Amino acid sequence: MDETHLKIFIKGTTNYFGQIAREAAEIGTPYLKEDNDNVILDYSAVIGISGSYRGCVYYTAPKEMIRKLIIHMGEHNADDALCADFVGEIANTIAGNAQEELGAGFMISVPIVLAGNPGSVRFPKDAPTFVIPIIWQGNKSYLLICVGESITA
Amino acid sequence: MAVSFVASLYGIFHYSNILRHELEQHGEVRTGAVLVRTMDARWIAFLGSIEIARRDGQPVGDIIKDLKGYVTLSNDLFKAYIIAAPVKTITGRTLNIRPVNTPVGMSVAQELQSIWSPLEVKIQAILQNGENQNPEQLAEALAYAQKHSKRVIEISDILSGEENIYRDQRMAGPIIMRYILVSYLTAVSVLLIPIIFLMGRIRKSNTALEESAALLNQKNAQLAEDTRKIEEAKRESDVIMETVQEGLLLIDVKGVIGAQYSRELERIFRMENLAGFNFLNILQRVLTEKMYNTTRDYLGLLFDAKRKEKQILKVNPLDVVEVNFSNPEGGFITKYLGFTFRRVVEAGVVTRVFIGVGDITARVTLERELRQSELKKEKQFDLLLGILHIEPKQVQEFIETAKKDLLEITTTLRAEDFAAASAGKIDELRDRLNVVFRCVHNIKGNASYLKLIYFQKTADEFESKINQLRNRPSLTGDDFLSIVMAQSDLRNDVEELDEIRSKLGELRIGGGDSTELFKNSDRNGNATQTREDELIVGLRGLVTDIAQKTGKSVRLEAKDFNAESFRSDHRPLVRDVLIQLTRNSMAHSFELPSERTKVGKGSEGVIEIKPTKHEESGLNGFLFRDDGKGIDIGKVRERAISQGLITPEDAQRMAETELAMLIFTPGFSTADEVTTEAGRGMGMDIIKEKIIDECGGEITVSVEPGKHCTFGIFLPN
Repeated sequence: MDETHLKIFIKGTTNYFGQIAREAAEIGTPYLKEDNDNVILDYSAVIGISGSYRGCVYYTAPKEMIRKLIIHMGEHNADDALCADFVGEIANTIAGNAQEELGAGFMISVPIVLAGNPGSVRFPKDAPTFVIPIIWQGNKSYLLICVGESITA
Repeated sequence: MAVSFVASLYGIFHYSNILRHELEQHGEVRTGAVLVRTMDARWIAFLGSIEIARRDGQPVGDIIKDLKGYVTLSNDLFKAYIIAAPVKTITGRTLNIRPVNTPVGMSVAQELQSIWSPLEVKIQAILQNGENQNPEQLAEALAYAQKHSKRVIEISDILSGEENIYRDQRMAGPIIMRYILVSYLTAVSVLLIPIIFLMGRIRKSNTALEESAALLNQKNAQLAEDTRKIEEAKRESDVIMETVQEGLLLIDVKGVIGAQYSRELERIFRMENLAGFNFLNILQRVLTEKMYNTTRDYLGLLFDAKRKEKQILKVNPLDVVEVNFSNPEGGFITKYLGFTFRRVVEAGVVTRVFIGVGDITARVTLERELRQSELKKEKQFDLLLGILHIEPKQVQEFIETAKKDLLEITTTLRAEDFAAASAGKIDELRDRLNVVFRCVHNIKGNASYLKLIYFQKTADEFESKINQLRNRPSLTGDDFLSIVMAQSDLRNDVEELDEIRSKLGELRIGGGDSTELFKNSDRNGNATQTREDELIVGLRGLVTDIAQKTGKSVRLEAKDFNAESFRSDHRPLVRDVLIQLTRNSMAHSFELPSERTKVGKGSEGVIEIKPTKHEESGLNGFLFRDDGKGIDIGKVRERAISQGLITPEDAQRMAETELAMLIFTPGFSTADEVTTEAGRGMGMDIIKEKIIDECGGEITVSVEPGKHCTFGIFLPN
């Protein structure tokens, strides 16, 4: 996976905030996840990727940010269940956008939403994990991308 | 018994019918007798009416018409008492008259006929006369009728009386019993004959049945044997289907899976009861859209009998295919499957396709691991060749330093304090970029020092990417993606080098004295001196290497320099600084031999490194002196003004030493072009940052333009 591919995921994220939340998100400086880094906030959604590429995409955000986003979209009853669904939806939209860009050889799984801090999320070892901070209205969330090329791709 | 009972019932039923019939006929015979009595009065009345009408001159047509009806009735009625016949009355009623078979009855019936016959002749003549009636004929007929009138009435009474007698005779017991017997026998015959016939047939059938039963038993035995064989074959087939380690199935032209398939197929596709499922639908769940479309088209070709099977099988797209099953715990479970296909042709038509599916995950994974291992070995072999000339400890130091620098890049990029204002944000990003550059530059310097060409080149390419960003008017977070990608690659390389070092270290430990390579440089032959010389030897190598590349001639002298005199945590920094200063001197200070000769210098330049202490602070340090042209103060001034670091007025006011200190400004360079050795404008600022900002040390610069340049580096004890 090269820079162009990573940009597809980032574009999907900024588009989501630009179109759905009607306020663009900023991208912080991306960095490489170290083995001992544990980037998990209140709500997280993991999407498995397979096909021509393999790995996972992971979006994690603080509760405050998700609540703000939901309220910003006109829903004032932002309970825990809705927050969890919302994070899953964000991850799904990002991965779905990537699927459009990367073509029919790219498969995405149904998002698995994790509420609270589950400890850690396992990433494939044969590909680096890129951490991309997503800042919206001063709140920082993260998009983690760990995607390598498939064996038979 | 049953037959007798049925026959009796039939007889009783038949007897009651006879009684009813006898009574009905008796009534009709007596009614007929009454009609006979009225006939006489009718004839006289009609004949009298005709005579009156004739005399009065009235038409007789209607009377004649009515008379005709009574003539017919008289004929029928009188004959019926002789031979039984139905008689239709004037009102339309039908009477079933039969003879009264008593001697008197039969006699008077003949007498009545004899009375009527002459009268009928006379009346027929009157009827034929129509409106022209003959009064004589009328009178004669009327007289005849009147003459026999009394006897006709008597005959009528006799007939009634005789009928009663005749009825009583008919209803008597013997007659009834005869009827019952006849009925009984008839009923028995009706019932027994078919039974007897059936019994005969049954006897014949029994024989045939016995023969058929024997044949059937034989056939059943054969069938049982065949069934046993089929069951045995099916059991064997089931065992094969249950145990075969390959998915086997048949699909029809619509892709529907047949009833028989191997158990392994369910395991492979993680589904049960696959019979009747559409094979393509199953594949759609686990293949990418692209591969699914290809497969669908391919199956279409397999069912097209016009296409040659051999050719189609050659282009099997599912020879090795990745399939992905949704994992309930998230993501996918990936398998690799290998499909084989064969047509089933019946009467020239491809009716089904046989498919074999194998789970080849283990094989594919192993092949991938082998492939990756080979690639890794190739790369590691190249890396190994690149470090064979280097002392393992130096390689280890390089790796540790590189890892530290790479981690610093991550720490810098990960920093949470993201500036709020846009303008500030760009500065923040530029600062981060500078830190990244310094780290990469340091790795490159160390690689250059150790002649790790691969890493030197990789780091140089990394620097180029950073430089592209530095030249951009604005920066955003995602601009750093190329940086992070390059960092990732470099980190992988360093980790691989570490792996090789680890393996090589083991070899060298078992291979004898690791300092053998450096004995020529070891004046005292002790371990400490060897350690010092390792650094100096490395620097000499760096000098030689750069000199060869640039066409310069330089010698390095390091009398009494001992890296061990610095704190252990400062020693890597001392090495980094010496490398950076050496590279800078080689790039910027030293002239080509011909130039040196022109200005009266020896053709060979000299770098001198010697230990010293800071005169005022007493800090431990060393002097690094080169006899090149030193810092080109004019160029520094010019570049500093052009880069906006100082104004022209500042430049006029500043002393040469002050101007020289500008080389420690981030991004400042006096090199005319970028090379792997210099020109990025980074390096001296790293020294300043590390020595002064991080360690609390000091730096001094002494320049005599055109003659020499001396840096003093001092670190806390």
